[in-house]
Amino acid sequence: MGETDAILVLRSRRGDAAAFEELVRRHMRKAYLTALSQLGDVAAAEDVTQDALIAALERIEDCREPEHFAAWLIRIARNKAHNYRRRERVRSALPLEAADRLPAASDPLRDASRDELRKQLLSALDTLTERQREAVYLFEVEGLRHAEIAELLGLKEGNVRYHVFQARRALREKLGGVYGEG
Amino acid sequence: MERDELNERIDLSALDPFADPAARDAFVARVLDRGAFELARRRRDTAGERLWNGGSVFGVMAGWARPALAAAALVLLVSGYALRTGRAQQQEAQSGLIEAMALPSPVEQWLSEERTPTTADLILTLEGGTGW
Repeated sequence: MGETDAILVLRSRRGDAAAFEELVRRHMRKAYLTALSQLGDVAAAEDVTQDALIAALERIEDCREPEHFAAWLIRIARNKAHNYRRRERVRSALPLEAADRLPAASDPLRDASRDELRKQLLSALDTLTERQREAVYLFEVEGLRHAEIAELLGLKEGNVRYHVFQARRALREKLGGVYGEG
Repeated sequence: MERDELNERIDLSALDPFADPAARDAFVARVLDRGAFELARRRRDTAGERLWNGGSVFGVMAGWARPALAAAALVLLVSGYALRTGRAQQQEAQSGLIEAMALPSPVEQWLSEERTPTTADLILTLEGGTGW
């Protein structure tokens, strides 16, 4: 483990590009998953994540608890996603459009099946509440524990455990045999 | 243990664009590119702040220069006065002047030895290391 978030935040305040890059690498996925849970659109979530990270840099003095930078960034990403959705009237059912903006395909067959899988996943996730999506993303994609998710989202651990459980059960029902084992 | 609750992991990696290292690096590069101006502004502001607060090397040097210059000016003043008096009267005048001015002992010593103080003399005198 390198420097703490608190140190990286202080260095970023002084314009240290390496420190800011490290913060981006550590936490961009959390911000992205938060945005994705609201938008249901991979490309839009990427754009919002980028905006959130830049906003975080520009307002980094406002991060009063640098050791909790991730939670602060998530709040920014959530607000950005909310504004994006309101402004652009993005609907969650745009998976194909989203897929068009992902990196170029190297294997058309594999990518086509990946796009199809993405469509199915987004469709299933769309039936969950926003909190459930956020919690299950952070649990499954980012690999965080319930307690860590609770701290990031400002929830009680028991609530997170419940959201994750409900989300996973719903996804299993919706997806059937689509998902594989880890 | 937590991950064994439902025994099976739900694979959502298809929704994770950062699972691909190339895509992840490209994303980071775009963010850094967009943030470059802000980072540069912050570096400039920090550098300016340091100079202003005297926290930089130059600031520290400036802090040192002030007492050193003051000491040099004092020596110059005393030396100039001494040169203007006659050689014959110099000893008497000097001792009289030194007593009258109540000069610190190191300065008195430089004058009586008729020598220019070295840098070390100045520093020691400023630090009070010779009883000033």
